[in-house]
Amino acid sequence: MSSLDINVHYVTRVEGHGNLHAKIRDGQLEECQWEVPEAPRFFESMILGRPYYDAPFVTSRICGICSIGHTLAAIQGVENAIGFTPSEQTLRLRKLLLHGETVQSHVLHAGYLALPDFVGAPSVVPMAASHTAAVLCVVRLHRLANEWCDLIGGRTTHPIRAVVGGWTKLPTPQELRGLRQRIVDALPDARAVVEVFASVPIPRFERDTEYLALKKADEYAWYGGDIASTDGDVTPLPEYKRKVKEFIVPHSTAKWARGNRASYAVGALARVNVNYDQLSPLAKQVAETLGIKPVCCNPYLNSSAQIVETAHALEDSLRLIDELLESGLHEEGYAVAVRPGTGVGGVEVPRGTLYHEYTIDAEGRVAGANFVIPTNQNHANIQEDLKVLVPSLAGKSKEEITLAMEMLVRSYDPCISCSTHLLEVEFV
Amino acid sequence: MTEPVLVVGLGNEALRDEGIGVHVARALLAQPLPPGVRVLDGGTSGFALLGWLEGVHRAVLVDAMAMGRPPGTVVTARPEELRSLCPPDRLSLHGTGVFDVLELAAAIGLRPPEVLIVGVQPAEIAWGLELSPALQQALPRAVEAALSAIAKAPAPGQPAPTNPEATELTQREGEEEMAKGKRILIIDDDPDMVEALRLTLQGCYEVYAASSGQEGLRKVKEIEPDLIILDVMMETATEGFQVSLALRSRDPDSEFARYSRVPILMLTAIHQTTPLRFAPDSDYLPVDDFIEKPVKPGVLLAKVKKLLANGNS
Repeated sequence: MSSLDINVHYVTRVEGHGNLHAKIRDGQLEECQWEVPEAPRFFESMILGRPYYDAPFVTSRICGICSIGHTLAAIQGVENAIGFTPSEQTLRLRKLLLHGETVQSHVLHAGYLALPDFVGAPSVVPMAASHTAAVLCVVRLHRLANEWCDLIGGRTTHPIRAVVGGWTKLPTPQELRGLRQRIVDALPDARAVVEVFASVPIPRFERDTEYLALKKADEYAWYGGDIASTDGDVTPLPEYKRKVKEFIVPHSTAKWARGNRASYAVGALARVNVNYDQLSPLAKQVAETLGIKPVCCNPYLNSSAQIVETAHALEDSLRLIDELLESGLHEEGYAVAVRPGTGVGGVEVPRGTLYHEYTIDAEGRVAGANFVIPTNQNHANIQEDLKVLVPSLAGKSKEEITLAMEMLVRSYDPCISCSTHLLEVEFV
Repeated sequence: MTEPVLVVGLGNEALRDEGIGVHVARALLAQPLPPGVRVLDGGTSGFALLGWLEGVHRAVLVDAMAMGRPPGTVVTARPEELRSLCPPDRLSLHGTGVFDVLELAAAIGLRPPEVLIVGVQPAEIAWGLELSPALQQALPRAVEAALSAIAKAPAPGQPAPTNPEATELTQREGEEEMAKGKRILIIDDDPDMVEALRLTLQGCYEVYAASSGQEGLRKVKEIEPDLIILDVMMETATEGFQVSLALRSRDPDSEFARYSRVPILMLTAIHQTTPLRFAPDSDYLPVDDFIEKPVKPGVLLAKVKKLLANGNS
């Protein structure tokens, strides 16, 4: 690789559009750039002036994959702003819904989009011929997750039952028992997918990285918590801007972010690294099988970490359903008393920590909003990884280097459309 | 025993016409359906489709399809037939193409014995929750096409179309060749009407517009259209009549003599507002046909096609 130019316009099998560029001269990496060229979408402006209860529905449309995460981050942010504390039942149902989305998204990415890389197939279609049984397991898990989200949230995506203050409709005990049985029945499929991931070669690449995730004392954090770093520091959620330092680069329509260092990572691998001790027993077994131990700094293992979290979400959902059934489901309504204020919501969505901050005025309208999306937090880390990865591929062909770069980007499971609405716009 | 039928409306309803499948699914869910029929709002993820195909005998997939047709065109076809007629589509922003999903379904043994796609040509894919006017008009026809696909399996070995516009699709392949290069001049002072007509026609024809009778007559000379669509009431209540009389003048020295055989389709709402009935009349109203406002895209296309064919013969 004495001199090479690599230009990948629109990396495939990721959500949205991102370009890769690398320029190598005499074996030295001169330029390496991860570009995000998508048009910004200005959701923070769109929400201004709307009533507080619209926030979850509007911001859910930021993304078709993590729409549940956006809904819940909006609900949490608004509730924190107006000073409302949800009931234990409401929180359990929100976590159960979020687990449904985690399985939905992780299975989609790991099974359909990332696995072809590891088995050497150009996409899932040819992979289906050689790994039919595995693909069928993925299909069944994905169907379960879609119907799970539909059952709890009222739709497979863009849920309508989860609102500020509680739930507009509760699942019945019979429906919850049915879901519980389906999750139990799905565990063999999940184990089969683990075996496939355990059998494929994952590229070896390590770069010392700071990982961030929400952390709670009593559980593997998904909904709320403090912001914990693998560097050891912990930041209260309302002070997220102190930890998450956003910045703008000329080659991206999305903001980038840094923490203690030039970059940090969020997502499944970050969460497993930060909260490993709180994984469910099955998830810990899976982590061991897939060779993930904290602090694991191989970004290619993010897809494997998604499989670990799929196991955790399945097993933890059984606990949540049991607790809901044990305490009985009660119609609680969703009335809230609105007071003006500012609040931050923090939710671990499939791609990492999602922050929604709202200021609600005395009339209950949104007076200010700021969203920090996981993919944005990973852009700088992807670039830093690429800068180390590309020189390490000396002697490889252009095609091999290109594939390794694309696989690295895909491992982060970026949701680029989601991330491109964060340019600061000053309206005068 | 009733064979299970699955209807999935696909798309992102936040992207205007991209969400037509979801709108159709909602309309279907609001009405009684035959036993064994399951209707799903499939949302944006193509891969989600796979899980629902198991055990299904017939799948009807409703989606926005870039078929290069006039906006609002509704086509029912088997996937293979549709694929041969239009460029590969993107099922949604977040998923993969419907054809890829079906290919994958076939590879893992999940493809139902019968699959029909109800494709709707979008007019506008942009952020917004409302369908474009063209697709609002098309929605009842898309629902009807989905109901038709639910009710009636295509006969084995027969071409797929199950609704008239689908039949029209296959017929139109040859006709489009003929239509290539045909120029249509719209003379109307209502820019919204001009735009609506343009949206319907521009996939098949070269479309030009003039906003007054005077401008229209000037453009007839410039453009030499193959067909003129002419409004009646513009600056004056009879401006359209006067334009038609000028174009069809019997004076051999008329400056428009060479355009006297260009077909004229007269656009009017007068039949809605008065009991008077107009008909083409070579002396007093020398036009070839009328079309009523509001204009139905299918009717417009049919009349244009007929007049152009007559002109050719």
